[in-house]
Amino acid sequence: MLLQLELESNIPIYKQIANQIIVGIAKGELTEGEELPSVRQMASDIGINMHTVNKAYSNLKQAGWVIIHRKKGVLICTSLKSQVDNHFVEILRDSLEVSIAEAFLKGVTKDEFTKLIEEKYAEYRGGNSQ
Amino acid sequence: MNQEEIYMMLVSSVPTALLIIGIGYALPAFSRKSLLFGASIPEEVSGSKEAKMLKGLYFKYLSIGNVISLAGAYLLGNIFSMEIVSISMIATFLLIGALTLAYYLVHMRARKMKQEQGWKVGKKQIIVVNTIRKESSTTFNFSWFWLPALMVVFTIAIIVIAYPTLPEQIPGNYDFSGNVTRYDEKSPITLSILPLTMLGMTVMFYFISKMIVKVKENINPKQPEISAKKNRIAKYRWVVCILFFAVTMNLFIMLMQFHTFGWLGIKNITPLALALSILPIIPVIYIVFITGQSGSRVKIKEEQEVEGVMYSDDDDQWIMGMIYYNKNDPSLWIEKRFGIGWTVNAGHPIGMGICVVSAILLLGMLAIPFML
Repeated sequence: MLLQLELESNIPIYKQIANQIIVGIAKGELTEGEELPSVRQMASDIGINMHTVNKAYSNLKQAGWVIIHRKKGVLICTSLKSQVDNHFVEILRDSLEVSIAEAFLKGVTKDEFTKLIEEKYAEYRGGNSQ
Repeated sequence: MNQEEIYMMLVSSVPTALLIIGIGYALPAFSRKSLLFGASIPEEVSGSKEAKMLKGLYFKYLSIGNVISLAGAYLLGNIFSMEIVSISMIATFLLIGALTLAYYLVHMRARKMKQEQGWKVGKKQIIVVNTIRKESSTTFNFSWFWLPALMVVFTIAIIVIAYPTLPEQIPGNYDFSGNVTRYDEKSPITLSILPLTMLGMTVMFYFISKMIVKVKENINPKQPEISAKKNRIAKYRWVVCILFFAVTMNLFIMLMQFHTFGWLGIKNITPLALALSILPIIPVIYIVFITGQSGSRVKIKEEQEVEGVMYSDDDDQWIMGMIYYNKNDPSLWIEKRFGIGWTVNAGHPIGMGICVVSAILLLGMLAIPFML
């Protein structure tokens, strides 16, 4: 997949990389077990410090989206579905709180909001929402 | 001037000078549309009135510089009563200097103009990176490099087998008419020079190809998918071109070696040598025309362009718009800012080393004509 990064953005680069890779996996642009560039290669392609890419990869690893293999390098995790747990739902609720509150205050209706979510779900993995 | 000197001028000095002058005038046409004399700009601006004005200015500076360079080389040559070789060397340096200066002056104007005209305002600056980075993605099979490698092995094997039957005196140098000007004693050392050169070249071309595959891609955020493809096509073509280079150079040296043994049955090797040294240049010229920097001239089906985006502005990483200096960037090699090819990152320790060594060599070469 193609990552699109903005150096001038308020979102730190490591976050942009990690976010786009997660979306890429959800959309099926990155497949399970697919190899990602090495830290050096990715840093060199973007023209940034290797620490930044390292940070992105270790965040992804902690969240369970990638595995860092000693020989093969960085791979997209092969067992993604097994990771749904209550702890994650807690985090999800927290992170949605502000977005929903802001939407509510801006006058976005419940139907509009659910429609947005449905649209996104339809984009992911060929639309087989679960 | 004797005949040798006239010949030398016709095959070496004049073509070199014409080549540099020609390159100088052609360069603006071969740069990416998103770079105006090394200043990153939105592509839409590349056809603007201001951009055309800068191009005109560049041609003017370049023409003045070329005239001064040629006249200067002629005068210096007369004052120090130099040989024709030295004069043409000075002319070469002056012409390159004129080209560099013309570019630098226009580069600074372009950067100033970019600020004044607010070209960047409202544009998202995007770096596009492909996560598929495996070597196999260029679809080039590196085992092809066994071909030039086998040529080296073949040459060495032939020399070893034929060693006892070879004459005791082997030609070491020829003049333009094909007469031997120096003989070397037959020994394992004199006979290993050419095969070792072949080996060295093969290894060098192999690593250049690896570098090309790994080097940073410049994917255009206006057409990311298409541009990523163009980058890959460009890389593939370059690697094929380098392989062709390795094979023809090895063939060239191999034939030269066999000629010194008198096996080719030709009296004057010069025409064949010239032909074989020009041959590898043809695909390079072809590639330059049909491929361009990061595949910008590759013709494939275009897609809808994304509006309001441009390449990330990295002007500040380029000293004088020529030398890439970025300590954070781990890449050693990077695409050149102006024209076609690659250059080093001077912010990388090895890159800095390469810059220093080439600067010393250049200054050394510049001093030679005055010391002869």
